[in-house]
Amino acid sequence: MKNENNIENKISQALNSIEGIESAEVKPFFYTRLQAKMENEIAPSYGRFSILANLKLSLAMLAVIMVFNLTSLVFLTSSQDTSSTATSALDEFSEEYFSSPNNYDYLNEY
Amino acid sequence: MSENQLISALKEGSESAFRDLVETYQNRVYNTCLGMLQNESDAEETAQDVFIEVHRSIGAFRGESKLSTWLYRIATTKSLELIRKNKRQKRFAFLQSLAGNDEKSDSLKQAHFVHPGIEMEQKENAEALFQAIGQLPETQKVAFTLHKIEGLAYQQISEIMETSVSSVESLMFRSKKNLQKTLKSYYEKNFRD
Repeated sequence: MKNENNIENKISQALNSIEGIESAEVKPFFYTRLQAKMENEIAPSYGRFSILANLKLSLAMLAVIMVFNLTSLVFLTSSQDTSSTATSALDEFSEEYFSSPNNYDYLNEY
Repeated sequence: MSENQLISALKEGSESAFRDLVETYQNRVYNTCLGMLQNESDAEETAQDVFIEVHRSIGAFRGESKLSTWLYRIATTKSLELIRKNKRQKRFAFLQSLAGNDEKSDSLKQAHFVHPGIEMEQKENAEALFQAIGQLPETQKVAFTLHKIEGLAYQQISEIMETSVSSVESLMFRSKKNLQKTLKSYYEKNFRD
C-alpha cells in the first residue's frame, strides 16, 4: 500500500515537473548558421547544371562544335577531290602499261 | 511591420524580411522541435529546415492561416519526419545486431534528455516524463508538446493540427492517461522497495 502511494506520488510529481517550463532558446548566431546551410543546399543544385546555367559558356561551346563540324566537312570534301585525281592518274598508268592485247597491234605493223 | 507586410516582403524575396521572420520565430520553432525530438542538435537542424522550407514555399502560402500557425505546422511535420527516420534507423540497427553485427549505432543509445527550461529541482522527475512523452503516439505527442511545452491554447493547436478543439481535448486526455500508464510501469520497475 505504501509502495502504491509512493508510485502514485512519483507519477504526480513527474507530470507536474513540466509546469512552469521556460522556452528553450537557440544558440547565438542561428541566422548565420541558417544562411550557411541555405547556401550549401542551393549551391550543389546550381553546380549540377552549371554548364547549362552559364549561357555564355554554352554558346561558346556550341560555336566550337560548329567550327569543328565545318572544318571536318571541308577536309572530307577536299580529300574526296584528291582521291578522284589519284584514281584518274592510276587509270592512265594502267592503260599505258596493262592495256588489252588489241592495243599491241602496232607491234605487228612492220 | 504587420504580418501581411512581412508576407508580401517575403514573397518579393526581401532578405531583411526573412531575417525578421527568423529572429521573431526562431525560439518558438526551436522549442517545439526540441520538445518533440528531445535532442538539441536534431532540434537545431530541424529548426533550420523549417525556415529553409518557409523560404522555398512562401510563394505558395495563401495566408489562410496565421504565419505562426503555418510555421508550427511545418515544425511539427518536420520533427515527426525525423522521428520516423530515427525509428527506421533503430529498427535497421536492431536487425543488424540480430544478424550478428555487434556494432551499435548512435541511434540505439538511449539518451536521457532534460529540457533546458526545466527547473533544477524538477530535473529527475522531468527526465522520466520526457521518456514517457517520447513513447506517445504521434498526434498525442504533437498536442501535448504544443500545449505543455510551447504553452499554446487548444484553439491554436486545433488550427495547427487542422482539427477541432474537442479533438485536441481528447488527444490531451488520452496523452495524460498514456503518460500515467508509462510512468507507472517505469516507477514499478525502478523504484520498488
